[in-house]
Amino acid sequence: MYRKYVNGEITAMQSYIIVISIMIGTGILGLSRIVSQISRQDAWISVMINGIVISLVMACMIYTVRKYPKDNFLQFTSKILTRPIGYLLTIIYIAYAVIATGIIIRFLLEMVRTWLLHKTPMWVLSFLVVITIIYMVKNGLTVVARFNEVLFFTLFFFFLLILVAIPELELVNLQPVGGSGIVNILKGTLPSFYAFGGYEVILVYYTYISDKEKPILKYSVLSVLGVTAFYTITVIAQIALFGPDELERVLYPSMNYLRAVDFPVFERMELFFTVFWCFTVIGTVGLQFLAACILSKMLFKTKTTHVFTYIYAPLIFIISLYPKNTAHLVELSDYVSYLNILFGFVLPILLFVLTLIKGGNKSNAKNR
Amino acid sequence: MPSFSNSNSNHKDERLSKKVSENHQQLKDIFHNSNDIIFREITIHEKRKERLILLIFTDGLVDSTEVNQSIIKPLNSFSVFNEDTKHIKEITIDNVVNIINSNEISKIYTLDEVIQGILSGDTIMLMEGFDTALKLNSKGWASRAVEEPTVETVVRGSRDGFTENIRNNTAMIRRKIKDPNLIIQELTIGSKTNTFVALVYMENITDKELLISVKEKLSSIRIDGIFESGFIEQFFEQSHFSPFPQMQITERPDKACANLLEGRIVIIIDGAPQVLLIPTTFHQLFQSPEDYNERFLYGNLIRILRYIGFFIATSLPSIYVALVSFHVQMIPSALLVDLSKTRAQVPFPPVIEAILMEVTIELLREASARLPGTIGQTIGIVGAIVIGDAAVRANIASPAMVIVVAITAIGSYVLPHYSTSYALRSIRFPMIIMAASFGAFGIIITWTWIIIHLCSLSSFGYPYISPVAPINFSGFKDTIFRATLPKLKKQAKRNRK
Repeated sequence: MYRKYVNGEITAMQSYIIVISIMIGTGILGLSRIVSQISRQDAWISVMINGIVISLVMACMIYTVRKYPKDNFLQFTSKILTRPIGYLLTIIYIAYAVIATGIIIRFLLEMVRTWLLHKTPMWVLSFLVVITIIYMVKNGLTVVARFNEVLFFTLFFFFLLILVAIPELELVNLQPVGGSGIVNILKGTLPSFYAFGGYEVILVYYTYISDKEKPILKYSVLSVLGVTAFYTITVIAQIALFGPDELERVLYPSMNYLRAVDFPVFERMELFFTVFWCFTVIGTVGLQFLAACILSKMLFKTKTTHVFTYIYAPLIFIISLYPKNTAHLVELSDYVSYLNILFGFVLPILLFVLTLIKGGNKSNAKNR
Repeated sequence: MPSFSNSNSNHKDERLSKKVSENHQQLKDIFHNSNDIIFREITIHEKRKERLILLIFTDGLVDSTEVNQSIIKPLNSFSVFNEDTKHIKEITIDNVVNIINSNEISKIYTLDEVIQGILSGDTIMLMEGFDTALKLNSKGWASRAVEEPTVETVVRGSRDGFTENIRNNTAMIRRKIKDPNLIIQELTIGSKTNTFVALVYMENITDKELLISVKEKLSSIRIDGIFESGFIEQFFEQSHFSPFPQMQITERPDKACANLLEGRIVIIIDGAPQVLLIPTTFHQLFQSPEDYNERFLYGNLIRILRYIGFFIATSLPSIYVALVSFHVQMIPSALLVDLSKTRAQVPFPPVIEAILMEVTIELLREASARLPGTIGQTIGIVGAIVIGDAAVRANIASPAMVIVVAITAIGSYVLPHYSTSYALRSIRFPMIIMAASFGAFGIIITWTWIIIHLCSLSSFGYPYISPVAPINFSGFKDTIFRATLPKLKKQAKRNRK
């Protein structure tokens, strides 16, 4: 047991938790509103379909990276897609991860400003968060993974909070099931994609899993399906409570959802939600930021990641302060979600297909 | 104060002389005629000649009756006997062993060993014509009797505690674990104090790599003197600035033994009733032997209570400050009315009030901890009157604040491990300030820092907050909750494989 936990490596269990906690982040706040704008009362079906598709993508990703257990992201993309493209992808991924980190931090700050601190200047809050993130990320993957592992236990509480309003739900709001049409349901999957985003970090982190003999494929897919179930239940509950028409006018349905219920001792239950949510988002931010640092380490072939932590931190600080207001922020996050689709959908599928073809070639070569 | 000069003994490897008088003179010079070093000369009559024997020991470190009865008496009576009959042949350093009634005799050859022996309470025997000396065990100094541990008391459990005498302490462990796999290795640390340090472990359970690393670290310690296990703790710990103790200390033999069986290493320092247990985890700070002595249900309830106590002791004042200064809307309206009524009379902002009261409590705690028992109680009464009543009447603190501070203080006493309370205090004050500046968000950030810190901490390579992170499902049987004893036993067996 001694020194089993080498610094910089993670266990298979931690990789599942990483997948879960990076997916549950900022997306949950507005998920049901965004999706139900398109697919109305059937938003939950869109979310479910999206989740199932993502679990397939996840399976493809793990299948691909399993073929290259010794290679990191830069190496296997270079092997599959030639070196220049590998480097290009790594650079784009670094940019994507850094920008996404800044954007998520800004979402966090918006929430803090809305619900906890109304007057504190944004840059002070951002400074606090960035310092915290530096502290978390500078010690490498092991600490970030463990942090998320600790927070994983608070997710159960999270889940309970989502279920509190069950007595108030009106299932009539969900009917007619499938009434918005298959086209709308499928269209609705696209906006819900961002809520699931982030799982693509497994491409970066897979090489650091110390016990790769575990059934990682199975459990990673199960993790995605678990998150899908969680999101689907959340969306069902929120649609059932508000109905699709009212939902459109609620900015953060997950928050207002909790206001609908009266608790005996505590008032303003949504503030408790905010507190737990903040922890989760800080974990997500750490994972996203570390991906940028680790990729930079691969790119510049340095020994440690903490140099990049300090280099990127001011950048993230600036990005988090860049959006002028919430609307601007949402607009920017839409651009990020295009990159998200590139890394979360297009790239994994491309890698998977190419690996299938190349893998066939390799075995043929051996046979000859 | 510990000093770190590297002046070792100058007599290393110097051999003894064959002449007793030379050795006598040299030792006298070395000890600068100290009064408590006794040189006792005995003359033994052999067949044709007399032979001089010199006994050297430290008065007070040896058991006088033991020296008189078992060493001097046999020698003298042999001498008398020999004069009468004159038929015993020559006496040598080898056959003198048959005359002396000592339970532990060893041959030593260098001056350095002689000095060590004398200073550790052994009696050294030098004989004319031999350059070898005999070290006879005659240790027997005054020591405290085995008493109930004062810091770690339990309601249900054994009442014996470690004492300052290392021999007693190892014996107490040996008495509880009657297994040849229990290894007790002794070494000396401290170039001036030459303190005995015992490394105790279970040969078949303890991890070999851990053992090697502990031994390496122990032998690499360079210091003039150690007087307490805390010295070794500070040499061993990974993070000096961490508020959390990375090693556990205990005064209880039963706790030490239980930890030995779990594969931990116990380090006993001569002269200190506290022994070190390594490695340790965060969750061990919340465990007491009583959890296992008491029935399953109560044991678990007490443990949950301790975690709640930990949370209260770290965060309650900051939560109060955050609620009152930032998130008034979270307080139930019925409570809010009364709260604001009392708050309105207090001239200070909540943060000043909180820090004022907390500092007072800390002062009280320090004062009563260092004072003798009876005066300590008086301090307690003074504190109760000053804090509880007068402060409220003088409108310096609101009654709610007093309640919060009191609960906080009580919460920090729930933890069985005293060193943890330092951790609680050093977390509490920064958190109050963060809560006063950023409200609930300040508390979130502070807790994030604490969790990150806990995640990066390790004790001898073992993750500090294991089994929570990294998750180890079998470890959960004894973390926040403990399984029933039969189940715990099953787990222990599996771990040994």
